[in-house]
Order: sequence, then C-alpha cells, then structure tokens
Amino acid sequence: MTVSAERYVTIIQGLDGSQTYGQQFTEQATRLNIAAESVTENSLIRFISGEEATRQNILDHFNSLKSSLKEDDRIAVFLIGHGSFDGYEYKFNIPGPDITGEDIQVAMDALPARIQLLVNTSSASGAIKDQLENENRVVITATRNGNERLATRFGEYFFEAIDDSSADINKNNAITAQEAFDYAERMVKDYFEYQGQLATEHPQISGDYAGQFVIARLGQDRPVGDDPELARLLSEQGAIDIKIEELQLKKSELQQDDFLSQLQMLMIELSTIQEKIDQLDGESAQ
Amino acid sequence: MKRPVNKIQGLMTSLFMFVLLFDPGTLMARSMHYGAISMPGLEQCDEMQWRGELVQARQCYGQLISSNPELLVQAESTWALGDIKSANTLFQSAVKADPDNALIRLRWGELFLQTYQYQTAFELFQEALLREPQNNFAQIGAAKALAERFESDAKKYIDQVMSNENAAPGARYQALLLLARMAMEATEMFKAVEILNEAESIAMENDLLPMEIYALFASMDLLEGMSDSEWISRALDMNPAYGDIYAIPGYFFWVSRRYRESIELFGKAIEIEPDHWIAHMELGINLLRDNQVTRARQHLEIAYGGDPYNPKTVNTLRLLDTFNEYDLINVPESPTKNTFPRIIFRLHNDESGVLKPYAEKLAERGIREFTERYQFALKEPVIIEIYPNHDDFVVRTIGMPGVGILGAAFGYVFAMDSPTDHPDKEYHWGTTLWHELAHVFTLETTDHLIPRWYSEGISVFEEWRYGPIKGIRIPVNVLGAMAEDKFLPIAELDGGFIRPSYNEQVIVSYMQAGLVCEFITREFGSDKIVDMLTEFREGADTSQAVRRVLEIAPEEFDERFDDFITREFSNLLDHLDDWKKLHQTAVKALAEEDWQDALEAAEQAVEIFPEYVESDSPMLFMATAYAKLGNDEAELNILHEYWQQGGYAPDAIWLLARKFYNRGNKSMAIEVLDSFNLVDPFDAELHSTLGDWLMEEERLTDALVEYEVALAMNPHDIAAAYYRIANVNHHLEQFDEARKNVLAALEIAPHYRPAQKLLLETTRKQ
Repeated sequence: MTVSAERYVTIIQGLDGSQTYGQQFTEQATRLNIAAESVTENSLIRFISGEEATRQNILDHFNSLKSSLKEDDRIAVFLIGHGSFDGYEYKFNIPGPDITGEDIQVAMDALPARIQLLVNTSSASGAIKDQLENENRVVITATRNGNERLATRFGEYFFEAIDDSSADINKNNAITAQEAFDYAERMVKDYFEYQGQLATEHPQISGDYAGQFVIARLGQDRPVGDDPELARLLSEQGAIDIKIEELQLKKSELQQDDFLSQLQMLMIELSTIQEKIDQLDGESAQ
Repeated sequence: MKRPVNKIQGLMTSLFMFVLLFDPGTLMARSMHYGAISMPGLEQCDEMQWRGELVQARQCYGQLISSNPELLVQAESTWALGDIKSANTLFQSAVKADPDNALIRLRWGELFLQTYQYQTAFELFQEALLREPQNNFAQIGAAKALAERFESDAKKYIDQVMSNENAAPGARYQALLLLARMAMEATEMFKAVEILNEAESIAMENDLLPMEIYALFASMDLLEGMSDSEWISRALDMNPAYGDIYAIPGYFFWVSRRYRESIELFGKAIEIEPDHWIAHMELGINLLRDNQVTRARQHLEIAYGGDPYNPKTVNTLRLLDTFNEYDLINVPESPTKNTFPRIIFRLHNDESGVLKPYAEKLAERGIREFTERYQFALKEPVIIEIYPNHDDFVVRTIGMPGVGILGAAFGYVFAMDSPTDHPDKEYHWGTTLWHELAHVFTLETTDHLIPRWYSEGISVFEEWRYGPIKGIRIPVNVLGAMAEDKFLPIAELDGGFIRPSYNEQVIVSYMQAGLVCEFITREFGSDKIVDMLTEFREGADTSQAVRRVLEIAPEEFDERFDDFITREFSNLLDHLDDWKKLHQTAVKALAEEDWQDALEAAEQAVEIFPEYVESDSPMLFMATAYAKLGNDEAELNILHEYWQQGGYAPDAIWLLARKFYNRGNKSMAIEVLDSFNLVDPFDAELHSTLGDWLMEEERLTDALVEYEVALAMNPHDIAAAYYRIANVNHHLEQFDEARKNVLAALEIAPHYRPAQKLLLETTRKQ
C-alpha cells in the first residue's frame, strides 16, 4: 500500500496595529482557511493568530512539522500581517519578540517536504526573498525588497484571487500560486495606475513550481473511484490534453487557418468527452 | 482653437527633454540689431550680411576674427558665422574681462534669445539694465524675451523705451516693430499701420534697414486677401535672400489659423532663403497641422540639420518618432469608390481598441448634427488624434510642452488629450471631442476667416446645448469676473483670448463667447448663428457681422447682452457669497457627521446654484447625507438630478447606476453607466458590467461593443473575455466569429466548460 503525498498548510496572522488592518487580516486568513480546506484535510491546516502567534509557538509548530512531513508532501506557509526591515534584518511582527527572516529560513530549510511554498504579504517582505528562494521552494513576497515599507495591498488581492474564478486563467477550477500571484500583481499595478500614484510595492515570485502548486479549488471534481467508464474518459481527456499542448508548441509553424481547424477538432473531442463526463456525473447524482 | 483647462493641469514630462544649448552648430543667421552695437569693421560686415551678400559677409567676418582681438567683436563675428558654441564662450570671457559692461551682457542676451533660451536672455537683459538702467536696447531685449512667452509684462519694457524721448532710434524702432506685431496679432490693423508709419519715418531718418516693416505691411496686404504685395518686391530689391518677407506673413497666417496659406508662404521663404531654418520648422509644423506628415518630417529634419537648438523642431521630431506607435483607423473602414473616409483616427495602439468605439459614435453624431446645423458638408475626412501623454498633444499643437489645454483644432485635423493622462477623472473627454469637432465646422465653413471668439463661442455653446453633458456650466471664478463686470465689448472679445490682461481672462472669454452665442440664439434665433458664419466667410469683422446679421450696432448688442446676463445670472451673483458659505457649512457638517445640518446647508446651496456639478457639488453632499440618514429614495433622486445636470464624479455615477439596476430599472442603469464611457473608458469593470447588463436587456450589439472593449484592455482573465464575445456572437448568429472567439478562449483554457459547451453548440448549429 502506498501512502499518498499530503498537503500541509500553515497560516500565521501577525499583529495588526489597527482595527482596520486587524479586520482585513482576519478576513484574508478566513478566506485562506476556507481555500485550504478545498485542497487538503482540516487536520493538516494550522492557523496561528492572536496571542498564540508568538515566536516560540511558531518555531515549535515548525519543529513538530519536521516529524510529520515526508519528502513527497507539500507545505504551504502564509504570513499575513506587517513586516519591518532595519537594513539588516527582516522581522514579521507578532506578539513578543518578532520572528525574523532567518528564523523562517532555518525552520523551512529543516522541513523534509521537498516542494514548499512561502507567501509573505507583509510590508518589507521582499527582504527575505533572496535568503529563502531555491528551485523547489516557491517564494512570493508583496514587495521587491525590504525598503518598500508601507502597508501593502498585495495580500488583499492575493487572497481575493483564491476564490475568484477570474484568477483561474486556465479555467481548470484550481487556483495555483502562480495564478493567485499573477492576479494580485496585476491588481496592485492597476490600483496604483488608476490612483495616479507611484507604486510603493512591487510583488515578487520565484521558484519552479508556482504553476503546479494548487492553493485553492473552485469546484469539486468527482472522484474516479472504481468507475471504469469515468476512468476511461479521463484517460482519453488526458491524451487530448497532450495533443493540444503539442499543437500549441507547433503554432508558429502553422498557418493560422490550419492551426485553428486542428485546434477546433481537438477542442471538440475534448468538449465531447467532458460532456460525457458531465452526463455520468448527472447519472450518478440521480 | 485651443480648449483650455480651468486650472493648470499637473503636467507629466515624457519624451521632451529640452535640447542642451551650445552644441556645435552650423550657420545660423544673426538677426538685425539696428545699431545696438557699433564697432569698427563689424558694421560693414553686418551691412553685407543683411543685404544678402552672404559670401562677401562671410569673408568679412572671417577677416575681422583674424584682425580684431577684442572679445566682443570676436564673439559677434563668430556668432554671425554660425559657431554658436564658440560665440557663447567668447561672450562668457568678455563678461569676465569686463563685468560692468552692459553692452556685452545685452548682446549675450540676444544670443540666448536667438537660441530660444528666453529666461536666460531675460536675466542677461536685466543684468545689463542693472549696470545701465536707461539702456533702451536692453529694455527692448527684455520685452522681446517676455513677448516670446506671451507675458504681458513685455508691454512695460516697451513703454519704457517709447516714453523716453531720447531713446536710441534703433531701440525705439524695435519697440515700434514689436508694438506693430502685437497690434496685428490682436487684429488691430489700423493701429498697426499707424505704428509702422512711425517706424518707417525713424528708419528713413536713421538709415535703419526697413525690411521688417515691409514684411509686416506685406502681411497685412496678404491677410486682406491681396494675391501679392508691393512691399514684397521692395524688400527683395534690398535683399533678394530676405526670406522673412514671406516667413513673417506666414507667421500671421498661422496665428490667424490659416494654416494652408501659411504653408505656402513658408514654402516661398525657403525658396529664396534655403537656410531659413525657422521657416523650415514652421513649414514642417504647419504641414503637420494639415496632416502632411511625410513632407512635414522632411522640413523638420532640414531645420534640425541647420538649427539643432530649436526646441520646437526637436520636440516635434521626437513626437513624429512616436507616430509608429499610433493606429490610423478609417471610418468607414473601406470607403466606397470615389469617396473618402468620413473620419480618420490617429490613436495610440495601446488605446485604440478602447477609445475608438466611443469616439467614433460621438464623432459620427457630431458630423451629422453639425452638417445640418451649420449647413456645411465636409469636403475632406476629419482627422482625430488622441494623445495618451498631454505633452505629446501640446507639442503636436504648438511644438512646445507645458501648456494647460485639452484640445486643439487646425481645420480638418484636431488633436486632444486622452483620458489616460487625467487620473483624477475630472476630464470629460467626450465634451472636448465635441468642442473640437465643432471647430472643424466653424473653421471650414468660414474658410478659416472666423474670429477666434466666435469659433470658441460656438464650440462652448455646442457643449452646453448639444454635447454629451448638456447645460450651461460656468466656473465659479468666471462668475466672480462676471460680478465684477469684466466681460469685454463684443468688438474686443478676441483680445481676451489673444493677449489676456489678467490671469483668468482666457477662461472668462470662453464663457462670455459661449454666452454670446446662447444670447444670439435666444434673442435673434439660431439661424442668425449661421448667418454670422456666412458674414465671416465673406470677410466681415465682428462689428460688421453684428450690424449686418443682427441689424444692431455693436454698442447696442453689448447693452442687450448685459441685460441678458443680468436677467440670467443676477440672482446667482447676488447670492454667490451665500452659496460659498452654505457650501462650507455643508462640508464642515459632513466632516462632523452631522448629516441633518449637512443636508439642510447643501439643499439651500443647490437651490441657489443647481448647475454646480463639480466633484464637490452640494448635490453629492446631499446624497451622502441621505444615505447616512437611510433615505434611499431621496439619495437616488438627488444623484439622478446631479447626473442630469451634467455631473460625472465616478463614485456618484457608479452608485446611481447600481441603484437603478438594483431597483430593476436596467435601461436607466445602462444609460447612466454608458455615459461614463466618455469620462473614463479605461475602467475595466465598466465594460464587463455594462456588457452584462446589456445582455440582460438583450441589447446584443451594444453588449458586443462593451465586451470587445473589455478584451482590448488586455484583461487578466482573457479566456473569459473571449468567451463573452463568442457568446454574443453566437446569439447574434455570427457563428464564424463565435467559433474563432471560443477557440481563442479554449486555447488559453482548454477545460473552460462554458466555452466547451458553446463550441459544441456553435459547431452543431453550423
């Protein structure tokens, strides 16, 4: 019996500094919690906030994860709150001593899970980008560096993306870290342009797996279970997906009309299969 | 033909970096100084130069450089030979060597004048005057520097020369030439003739070269409609290479908005003086006003080759370099045989997909209505250029950035600001388009002979009566001027535009001109508006047109207009101070969350001045107060009234539209939101929302426009944008289009289920 890979989610909500921010951070964390439940089991989600969010508690939580996580598991860590940077060290503001960029790095480096995601929406969060990034870890920060110190808008948009279908660019009912980032980055840019202001934050992303790291699902696909017909259809669908990808790679070599007619043929096949899957879903629901 | 803003816009710099002075240059003619400097040897060389003996003059200056070590002579000769950089260095050394010498600073100032550095030139003339307070040439230099920037203080320095009986003849002569130019610019031709006669006497008595007088007399002859002028041949007899004999008239045709004639004149100027770089530059800029882009570039490049310091040349060439970023769009796209497009848009390729549908719809309506109202059928396409960068637009208009205007018409061509350069959302670009389009008709129906006040008056009147937001809207500062009786007699109204004597006179004159048209329409009938145009086309001046068409003397017109203003505005003017106090009270009460007091004060303010619909309109205060007091019905009503009066504050418009929508009044919701397209069409949410509402009302074609604009904005969710378009295509039975658009959606998102379903449905129907 093989043990399937698990998805762990840790959400840390730091100090707010004002009622307005407190409300915003809580709303963001709540949305994130709901989104996390769509991709993993409740038991694998840990939300640390308020008085509980001390440095010691956070480090203890990471320590406990060391023993729970396996190499094939995935871990996503979200920091919601304010950050600061004194030119030397980044700090995420929590009750008591702050947690530093180095603390976060040491804690995450120690985790056995190979694929990791860190989303830090705080001000000055860009300060930890360089020290945290590696090819297996997706690092998303609200700012370009530690000098962008004003409270950010990025978090609001990032967590808006996780339940907004317009962020789901490929319409597969799943929001990846890349999709949420792209959405939020665009919204931040539009916000400052629309206001006619110079942007005070420039979101950043690094790591190879942002496009594969699903952080929310917008709908629930039916589990294949032991339905052989559904399994066959999904297999056919997968084969057509590959053909579509191959066709897209050849696009520049083809005449537009040729490309469109081949694309149409494949899309009709794919759509027809999906129609059959939907019919099966309909039958099973009856 | 420039539509001003009521306040100075925050100007963004873009591609305009002013050229640095004193790069190595080629020959630049040193202008006549009329005795400002009198030095051995130099006078003889100057005489040759100014009589057109150019080869001999060059030799003369060359010999002078090698034989006369005096720094000032060296500087002047080097300047005359076109080495501006060395001339500047020599002037600098001369000033160092003799810091108390006013003449050196004065001449150095002239060098700066010639290289368009008016502020530095002015400062040098001031320094000269500190050393010699009665130096008339320095006074006239200061006047020229200020006049170049259209600053009214120029007159002060001219007066100093004119009031001095012992003024140097050359300085007095230049003062008269300046005065004559100013009179001509204000179309006070009789006055100009008197001044020039006096100047001519001085020239004859003092053996000063009279060619500039001849050029000004020639300008008057040609402006009066003569095909030739004896003054031209007289000037050319003295100097066959005197290009200004055509370039100066060219200038006056340009400022009279007669661009095609000015093209012809500048063309003649460069024929006889091929090195007349300013004539090349002006020719290029005026060719652009006639949409002759290729020829324009040729002359601007020649001008740049000869005079790389001219900022107008550099700025305009840089602007032309960006033209490849613009889409040229014909309407209709493919005119039938032997017809021309009605409209040609030049729109930035980042913006064309968004602006074109709304600009086209409005321009088409304008062309239809203006053709009928002004009884004039267009003979050429209207070319509409919309610039995303304000300074690009201003350079397109006058060659220089930094002027607070929103639109400018040159005839069939007009240019204007895009809403993207106005993030404050206070710019109603649809109104500007309407204003400028009206100019196209008034200019062309009068062969460009319409006085400025009347063309602006009709455009403002058009905004109020028939534009996208109707209603007479007079800014508060103009009401203040009205209360102080600052309106000009009709015969002098042009002066308020050309040489304003106080800060706000231009905007006051715009409003007065609009009100004059309103008055004529109400008191004499709208046909008289057209009859006046006919008179202007026949060459009448304002007084003549008033007498012939309205059959009253201009003085009587002024009296009756004054009565009209009293009738229409005395109540408002009498209570303007009360309105201001009530406005302040409402603002304060809102800040203190005292909603009832805010409501009462705002309500009284609205009663006094219901037309005030700026973003701080008391109607919006009332809406806020009603909302806080929970009176939804009253809130909707006051917002509706605000919108009907022409208010377009973004938050208020969205709120009103949503309120109508939520009450099920979708047609009003759509109408309100659609009106916002002429304010901020770059609001992405506007198009998706409006498209959805239009779909709900089954207005499929309109919905398609909105969805296509939404796609043109390069939205984040491109697949959904394509899908929406495909869906409308499908409903409109445009199956081929539907197929293409749904495939575009699926190419991005193969598992997009609504798109998959639509593809199957579309292909099955086909």
